[in-house]
Amino acid sequence: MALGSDRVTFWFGCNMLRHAEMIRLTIMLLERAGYDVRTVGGPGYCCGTAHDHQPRAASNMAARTVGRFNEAAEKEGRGTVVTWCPSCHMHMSDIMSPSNVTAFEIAHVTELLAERADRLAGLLQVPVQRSVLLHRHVGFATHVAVNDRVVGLLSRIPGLQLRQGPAHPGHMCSALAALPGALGRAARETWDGASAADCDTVCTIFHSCHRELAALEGRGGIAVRNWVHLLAEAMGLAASDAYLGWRTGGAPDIAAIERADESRYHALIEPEIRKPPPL
Amino acid sequence: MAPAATVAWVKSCAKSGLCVAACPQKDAGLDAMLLVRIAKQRALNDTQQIPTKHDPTLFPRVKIFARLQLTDEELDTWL
Repeated sequence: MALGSDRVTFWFGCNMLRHAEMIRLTIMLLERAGYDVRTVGGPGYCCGTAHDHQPRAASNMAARTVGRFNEAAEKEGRGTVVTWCPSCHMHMSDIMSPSNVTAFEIAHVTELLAERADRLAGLLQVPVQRSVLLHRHVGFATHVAVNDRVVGLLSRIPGLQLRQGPAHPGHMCSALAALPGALGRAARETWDGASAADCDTVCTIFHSCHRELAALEGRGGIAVRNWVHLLAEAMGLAASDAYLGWRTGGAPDIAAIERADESRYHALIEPEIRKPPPL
Repeated sequence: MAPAATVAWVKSCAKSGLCVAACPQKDAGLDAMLLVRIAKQRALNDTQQIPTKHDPTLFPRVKIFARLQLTDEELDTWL
């Protein structure tokens, strides 16, 4: 990659805000790979895909987000927008870019990290003694070979044994939620696959899958980690996972709840973190 | 208005993308998944054959998740 294109905008999307540690670890990985990262996300950078029922509003949101990325490209030299979310990536590629003038390229975070895997490999010095089943979906392969990219990165971790899990439909677990029984089936097939292969860890690739499978942490002696957690472990770094803790009976500390707005926490957050697991 | 079978097919799309390679008109430049997506938009917004599932709590919920976890600096610079 040419000098100057190392300045990137990391666009983590909306729903990743559940997983602050995963955002921070991804920034760390990009920086260790040599990128200068400006991080953005949340509703102010909405791709519009959650508003399919309001096409005009969705179009305006998309145009605003593209405008912000154009400004970062033109004023800060950030000519690449790095995605995490496959839904944001596909929406940018298929809808936002063709219908707006763009001054940037788009790439998935796994593509950038895979491109510099040799640089990261030198940092992966701590053996991770886990037998890992990779939770995969087939959908995003239309745009990015994400399963291969993650396998390539995880295979650099000393000590880690990796098996590829069943290839589930959709681009991530949220795509299955509207199909009766599909999400539970994907979770069951993943756990059955992990058990059959004597794996002690299921590794998620996307946040939506992590959100659903986190509630199964410990089921059958199988832990749930995201790929960025495993890379961080191999670097000897802390790789905490607050959301997983909340989905398995924990809760944010009271000071954080008060800061966030206690009544809205009880109304909006508790129902999600206390909902039944998918299996 | 689209036939019921078409609407059911469009409604159940999970974005696996398997239709892209399977489409006999792929070499002519057709992206079957994108066409299904456009069809879903029409069924949602033009013919109203698919009920909308607007979640008004989506943005408020992710904002609360952000405030539970992000530092003041992260809130200021990321969002």
